Amino acid sequence: MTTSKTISNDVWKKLSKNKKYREEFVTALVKQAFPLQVRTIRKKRRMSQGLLAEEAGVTQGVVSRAEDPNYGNLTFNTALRIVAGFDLAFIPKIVTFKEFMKWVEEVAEGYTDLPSFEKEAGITQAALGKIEEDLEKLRQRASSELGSLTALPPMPERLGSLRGTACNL
Amino acid sequence: MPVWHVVDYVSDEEGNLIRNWCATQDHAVVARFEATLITLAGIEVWDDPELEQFKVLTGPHVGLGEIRFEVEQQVGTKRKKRKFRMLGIWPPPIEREFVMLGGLEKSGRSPTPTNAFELAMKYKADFERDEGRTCDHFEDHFE
Repeated sequence: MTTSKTISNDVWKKLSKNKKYREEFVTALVKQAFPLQVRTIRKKRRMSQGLLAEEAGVTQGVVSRAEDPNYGNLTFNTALRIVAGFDLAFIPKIVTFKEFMKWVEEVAEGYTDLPSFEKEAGITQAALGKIEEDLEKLRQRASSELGSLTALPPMPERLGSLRGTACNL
Repeated sequence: MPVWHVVDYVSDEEGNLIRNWCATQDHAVVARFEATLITLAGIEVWDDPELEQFKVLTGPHVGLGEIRFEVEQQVGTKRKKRKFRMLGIWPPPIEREFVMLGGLEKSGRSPTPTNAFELAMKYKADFERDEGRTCDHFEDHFE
């Protein structure tokens, strides 16, 4: 039975062959895994390439190329815009081969959808609406209380009249 | 756990067909092939028409599917894209297990080796007659 550990053990042995193979393998996996993750998240969210393009501020053709494992010329700038279209983050990180193997295992297990920032933070549209409603109530309460405060004479005036009363005493 | 298992067909006469094919290819091709297998292992639906890395064959090659990958290499002053295919049994004989029968390079209309499709059909028939055996493509070297 193949496990992701079996795969990474096998890959590790193959990586040990030579530096050229390691370079080719890292390049090949990075260039294939990113397009696959974009496609998986988009499909899990039932988004069309056009909708993702709109959210990312790019054209549909850019999204199509970003999902093509054979395109090979994807720039950081495009990757960042597409990731932002999902309201997700992106980490370009240099790692050791041991660390890389953990990622190989993740890729072999398949990608799933990831929660956007709002979902992750638990802020749904409904919650945002409730917050706005509460803020409006607070604003109205503060305004009416401030209204009753303005009915009083301003502070220096009151102090003057108190001073007058004190002199009369 | 990976969603799919990929296995090599081991012919009684020729041995492990996939290992034999990889031995004739350069590092870039083998690396790209292995990376494609790893990414495919995590994909649930292989016969999705939008999936670039896999296609179900029809016509004279019905019963086969092909894993697709490309390698861009410098040839003289130009960058050249080489297209490769790894043929296997489709639909899979065991759910989510792809039996690989042999690789080929596509250049124009003719593959290399030229009889790659015929050979794959022959090995498929051998497999269905319970000849030969299969082995996990990713061997466990440490356990």
